[in-house]
Amino acid sequence: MDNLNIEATKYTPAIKLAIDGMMSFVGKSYPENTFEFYRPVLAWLNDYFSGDQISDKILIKFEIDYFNSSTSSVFYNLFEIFDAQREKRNILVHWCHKADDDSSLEAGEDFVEDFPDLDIQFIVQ
Amino acid sequence: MKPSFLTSMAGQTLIILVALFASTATTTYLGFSNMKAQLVESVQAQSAMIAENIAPAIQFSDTQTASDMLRSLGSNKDITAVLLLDSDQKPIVAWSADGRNTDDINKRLFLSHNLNELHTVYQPIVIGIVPKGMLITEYSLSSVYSRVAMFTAGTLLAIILVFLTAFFLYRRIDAVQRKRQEIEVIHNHTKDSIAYASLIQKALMPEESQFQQFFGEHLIVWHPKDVVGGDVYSLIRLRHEDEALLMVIDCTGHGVPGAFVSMLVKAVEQEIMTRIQHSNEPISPAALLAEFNRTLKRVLKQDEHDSQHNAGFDGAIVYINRAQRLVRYAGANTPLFVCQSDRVDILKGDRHSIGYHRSKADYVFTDHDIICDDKTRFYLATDGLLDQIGGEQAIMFGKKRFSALLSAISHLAMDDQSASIVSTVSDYRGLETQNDDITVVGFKVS
Repeated sequence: MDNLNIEATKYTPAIKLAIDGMMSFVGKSYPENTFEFYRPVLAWLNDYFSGDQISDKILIKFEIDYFNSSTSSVFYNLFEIFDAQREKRNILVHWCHKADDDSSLEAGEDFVEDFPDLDIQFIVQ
Repeated sequence: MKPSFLTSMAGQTLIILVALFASTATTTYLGFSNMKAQLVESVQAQSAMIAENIAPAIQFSDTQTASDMLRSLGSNKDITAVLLLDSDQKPIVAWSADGRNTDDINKRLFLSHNLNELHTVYQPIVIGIVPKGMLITEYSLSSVYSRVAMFTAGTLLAIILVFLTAFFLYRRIDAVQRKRQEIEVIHNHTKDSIAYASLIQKALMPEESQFQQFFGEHLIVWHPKDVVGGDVYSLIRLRHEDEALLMVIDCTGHGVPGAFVSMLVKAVEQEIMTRIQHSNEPISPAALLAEFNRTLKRVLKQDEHDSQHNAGFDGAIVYINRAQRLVRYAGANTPLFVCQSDRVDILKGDRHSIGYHRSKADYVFTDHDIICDDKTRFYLATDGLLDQIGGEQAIMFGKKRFSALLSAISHLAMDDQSASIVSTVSDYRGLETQNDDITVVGFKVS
């Protein structure tokens, strides 16, 4: 299984999913067809977590300045995948936001509310 | 009008190219014919001169072989080439002073004969002794001819190639141009089609006069990102004159897909409204959101696992009863801003969207009742405004900034507030693009 690297565009974030457990989403996310864009990401994660080379420690960094509501829906699916692994291994989510960015903070807080047992830490940039 | 081939740019270029080709070919041919004639003339004159003045002076003895003869001739520094002919006047060998045979044909002749036997076998005669650079053999001459012919052919070939390249290049440019025209036609067609669709979408929005009749004051900002959009709002008068329902709805995406979903939402809205108009039940915006949720999930087949799309909306429904001074709000990811002088409260509503895959069909939304006075102002805004990127840090506008704005413009009449909201958001946005449809609806219950 290979790492997944997707370059950032104007509408989509840079995505790095590494088998060593370092994963990141950086940039903006408002693709024309959000579900199509994230399909390979979801597929990679599903393959990874059903494979046999899963890292014990997984750090997922979200550093998203802007995302539309359909992205929020896809992120929910990502959190569901991570949440399902919570008991089997060490999963840590870094939700990064700028100090004044209450919308981003609020979005992160919503995920905390939805996934209360997942370790989600807020990082102010 | 479609231009005929001869008047089209392709036709005219073709004609020009053919004319150019013909004139170049003619000039070249005439030029070479002339050159050839001059060359022949000069060679003949040289030959005659040599035959008359030098050839008779050369003596051959019976014992001399052709190579002896050539050697003796070769020691003469004025002589650079010799041609030997046999008795049938057929050329046997050509020789030149620098040791090279004068051309490939002569070289072949040279190799096919034993030079020592030439004299006796063929009884050669010298027919020419030439200054350097000049060849006097028929072979040389014919090779000059063939060079001229080759040069002519080469030039013609080059011209043909240039012509063909130009022709194909032109055809390519012509094809690109035609493609561009085609795309322009398709683009205009799509643009016209969307412009017309926008008329239909606008027709489904309530008249501003309806707002004027029902509310003390109001404001509407409706800025789709594209010509049509997924943001829609409606104001529906209910069973008696003090009752109305206000909806602000942000359908999936923007542009054409957003507008498609908005049409569906409008249709469902009509169905629900018809039922309400004929009932005496108390109105619950939360129950209406739930009904929208169930209906959209069913109509868009969102429960089927393999469905390729995921569509729905975020939005708010507000029931207003002027007689009771009641504002009852339920929101699906769409907050209600309540302003009393410069104080702004935010009711977040439910964090649950309508109609999507993930939306639970049995989700129960929450009603919020507010008893207001005639100074209380209410605002609904879609995430196109709240999530607009801008400012120095390129972050989202956000609820905090919007609340501060509402507080800062609280002294203005609502009519004037809309201009402030538009300019503030546009200043905030700066050079960033508008990411989504923007709708803000504000009102006061009189």
